[in-house]
Amino acid sequence: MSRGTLRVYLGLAPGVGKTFRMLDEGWRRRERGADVVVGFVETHGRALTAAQIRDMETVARKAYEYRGTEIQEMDLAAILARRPQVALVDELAHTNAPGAKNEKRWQDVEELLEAGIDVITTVNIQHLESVNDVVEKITGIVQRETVPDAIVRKAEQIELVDITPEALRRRMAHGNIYPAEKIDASLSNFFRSGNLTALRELSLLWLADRVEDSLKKYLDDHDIKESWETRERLIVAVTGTETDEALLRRAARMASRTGAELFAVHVIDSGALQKRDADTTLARELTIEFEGTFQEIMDEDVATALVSFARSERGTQIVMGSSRNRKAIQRTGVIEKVLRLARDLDVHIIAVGGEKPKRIWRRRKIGIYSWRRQLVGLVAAAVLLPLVTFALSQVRANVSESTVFLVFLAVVLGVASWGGIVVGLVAAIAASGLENYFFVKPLHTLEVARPDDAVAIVAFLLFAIGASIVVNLFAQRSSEAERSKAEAEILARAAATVATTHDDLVPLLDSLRAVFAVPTVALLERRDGEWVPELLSGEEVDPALLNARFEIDDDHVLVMAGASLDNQDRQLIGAFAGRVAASIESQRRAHETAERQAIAETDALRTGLLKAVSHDLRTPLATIEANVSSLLQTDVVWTLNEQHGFLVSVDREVHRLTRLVTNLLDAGRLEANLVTPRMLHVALDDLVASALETIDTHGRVLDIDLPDDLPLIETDPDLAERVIANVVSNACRFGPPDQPIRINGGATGHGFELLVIDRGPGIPEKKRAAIMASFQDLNDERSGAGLGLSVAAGFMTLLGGELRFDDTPGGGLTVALELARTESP
Amino acid sequence: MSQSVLVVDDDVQILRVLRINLEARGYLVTTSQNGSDALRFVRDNPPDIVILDLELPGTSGLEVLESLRSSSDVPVIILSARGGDPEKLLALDEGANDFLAKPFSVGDLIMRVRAILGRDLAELSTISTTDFTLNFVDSLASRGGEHVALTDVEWKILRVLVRSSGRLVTERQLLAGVFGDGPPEDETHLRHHVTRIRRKLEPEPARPRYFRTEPGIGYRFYGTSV
Repeated sequence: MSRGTLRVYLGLAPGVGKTFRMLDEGWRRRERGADVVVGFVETHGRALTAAQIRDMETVARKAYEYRGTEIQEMDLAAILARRPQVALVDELAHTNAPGAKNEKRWQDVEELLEAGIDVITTVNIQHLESVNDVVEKITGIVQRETVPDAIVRKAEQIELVDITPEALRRRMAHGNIYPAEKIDASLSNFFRSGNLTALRELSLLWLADRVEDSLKKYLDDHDIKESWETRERLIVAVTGTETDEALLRRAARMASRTGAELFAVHVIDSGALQKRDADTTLARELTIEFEGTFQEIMDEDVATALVSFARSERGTQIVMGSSRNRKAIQRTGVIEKVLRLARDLDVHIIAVGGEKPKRIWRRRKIGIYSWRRQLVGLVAAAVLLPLVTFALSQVRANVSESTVFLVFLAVVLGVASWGGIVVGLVAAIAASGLENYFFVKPLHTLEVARPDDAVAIVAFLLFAIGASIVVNLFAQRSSEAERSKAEAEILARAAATVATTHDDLVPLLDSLRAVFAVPTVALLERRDGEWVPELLSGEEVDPALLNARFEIDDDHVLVMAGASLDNQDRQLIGAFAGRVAASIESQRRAHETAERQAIAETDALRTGLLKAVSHDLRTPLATIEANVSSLLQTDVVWTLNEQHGFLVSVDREVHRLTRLVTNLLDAGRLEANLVTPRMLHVALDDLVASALETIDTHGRVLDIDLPDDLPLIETDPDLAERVIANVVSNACRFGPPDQPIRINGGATGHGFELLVIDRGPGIPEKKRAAIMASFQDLNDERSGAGLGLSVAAGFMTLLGGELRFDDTPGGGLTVALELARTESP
Repeated sequence: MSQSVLVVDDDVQILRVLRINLEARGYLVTTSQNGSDALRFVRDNPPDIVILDLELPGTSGLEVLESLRSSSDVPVIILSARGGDPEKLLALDEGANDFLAKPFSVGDLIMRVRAILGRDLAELSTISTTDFTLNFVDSLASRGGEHVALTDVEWKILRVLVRSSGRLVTERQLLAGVFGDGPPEDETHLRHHVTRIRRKLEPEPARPRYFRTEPGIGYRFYGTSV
């Protein structure tokens, strides 16, 4: 007899619809004529699931008694006796009641398969043995019921029942998964969207049999709620050169702006012909300083290695440096290749060449001769001319006079092209003298015997001088060309930079510094009449040395140290300054707009608060006044009962007023940062009990369920009590009178959680943020609703915890108070 | 037959204490917590007077008043927790008869209810207070036994105010009652006359007991001091 086939519906969490799909498949097979029975289906009271069974034949369950309660289990023997073709068996990971034949349901299923019965079953990812510990790390819930992976892997078909975390949470909120009474702290924690996203990914990975690869990452990823899905990862390609510092600093700024994680990677080119003296010590130290991760990898293809590293680290952006020095030029091919390979990743190329201005300076300004260069030219002439004279005099017999003239001419042109026109003139005169003295007859005199020799010497002199001038002119032209090219580049860069922050201006200052070869370029701002550096590129120098000033606007100047600038330079810098001015102006405007907006928002908030508070203060006052003035009436004689009624009413309103005033004062204290928690170790149930003493439950029944074995929590008891009182009061105020307010507590993966669950109208998503931010929505009809909650949220933050709003399954608001676990003393 | 009062307020506490007080004075009291219920009730069993809070959930008090006035001229006393005058004025423009700002004293409210429900003095004859006596028939006024001379305009003002004893008379109503449809007189003029009346009749004109001002709204005569 052949073994039956197994089909498994794998879900990421309860409620995704596994059982429904299993039944669906059962019906499909039955319609094709198969003999299908329901071996065991757990409907969890979900109506849709129950309806899906319809009239399918169901094998009766078997009852076991355990500690006085009756437990119903799948009747394995009955199914085997019935011998259907297909059996539907829910919850593969289920543990059978003591007394059943097998300990686990998957063992029952094995027996069914052995008997040649096809089984369709369901299991949740968290019940698979191999991922059990990961799931615990993610959700903080220990799963005791597990299935060996091999059992599921043996299945002929595994189908993932996929659903987005949002859809699942919606289903949860509608009460489609669990009735509200069943939701406790750990369950609500389990259904957080960060957890669901992780579980979903885990399910997909498990299906692709790739859990092992990713296990480490899951374990590293403790802080799931923050980092799971949205966090950016920035991959910085460092080169082990001095440009790394600028590159890393820029990247770190980008990372901190977006809250991204920083990964620095150095790819050692294993195919390089000569070993580059890369020194990554600095890059390593900086990366650690920026709280990033540093890695070194070796590959012959730098670009491919970089991109595949970025992919494996789930990077979202690659940052590379581009500079003008020679090493970087070699890398330009790499940049292009990375751009081509990293189609789905953002690649940022950052100019980091400004760090080495002198090198650029030397390359750029060939035509303008410094004193030093001229001196070098003169020295070269002084050395070369005697040398050539000596060498030629040794071979005088074999060389003609014209050869001698040509050799001298070459030397003159050489030094002229290096040292400029002055050097050329000096060298030409000296050379003609030397020729005359050593090579023109009569030798060793400056006299010239033959007239054509005299002509030749004069011609040489003229020719040498003329050639020097031409060479000089040519050099100057090419220098100018270089320079205007550099200027054009700076302007282009300035124009392309939409400087939204001052940081963006720094590279522009750097390039200015490089082009003009000055030690310092700074942007000064006038504050209270003093000029202070706002941005600085280069070394800090005595402000007195900043000799070149360019007005940007009334309060900003651009200054350079040690620059001697010609008119052209000034024009260029002027254009640059205009650019800076425009960017400063736009920043200022953006700043002002933001400020105005903030003020308008604060005003609207204040008005709203004032409106709400005046209503909330007047309402109890009105009741008090009405009751007290009733007692003071002289035209009516009140009975004792009526008098008592008036006083009770006054008393209640005084309490209400006190609570409101306390909340208002607390809100003020919170806003002014005047609350300092005093942390003590206390028991959660004590906190709840004393908080409940202070509140008016409006006749609501409180259904409190706290485990007895909770460890102490470290918190400020007064503040925590206020938080609980406010949250519970709110629930009592808005929950329907006939529904109990449920207060559940328990340990979660990260600490403790207290849930206050009401069945009231709830708070729409968009109002929640307003409450958390400060006070409440401006046009809330149930005014005052937000104040208590926002004070509670403020206190929770101070206590290092979190107040979270959730939907109560089936309608209503659930407020989760979450406190991190601390070590008990 | 006792007179019926409808109280509309969203605050149960206020409803409770008003009900006790009004019932203790022999009124039939109905309460409602929202505007639409109140309107339905007025349509089915018109009460003799409505006490209406301006701040109601859903249909606001002003909207309730507006639709009330479209079909009925039942007297309305407005309760308002809002201190500002614009709402009061709006409500009075919409046809409210009087208003009270929360928090209010029950005594004040009862007095206003009585003033509105008490019948107009059809033909004023003589009215006496502890401080003065006014004989409207012969246009004679005396204070502490001494004759007081009053002008025609002053008598007209007194007639309107005393006839609505205890009730709020808005400046506009007063102007219409005194000067008829003639050329409109301004409020400053009116204030002038009232000041002179106070000087002639009030024991302490700077702190009037009988002729009270509701600043910016109107005047009110209290026959007995409160």
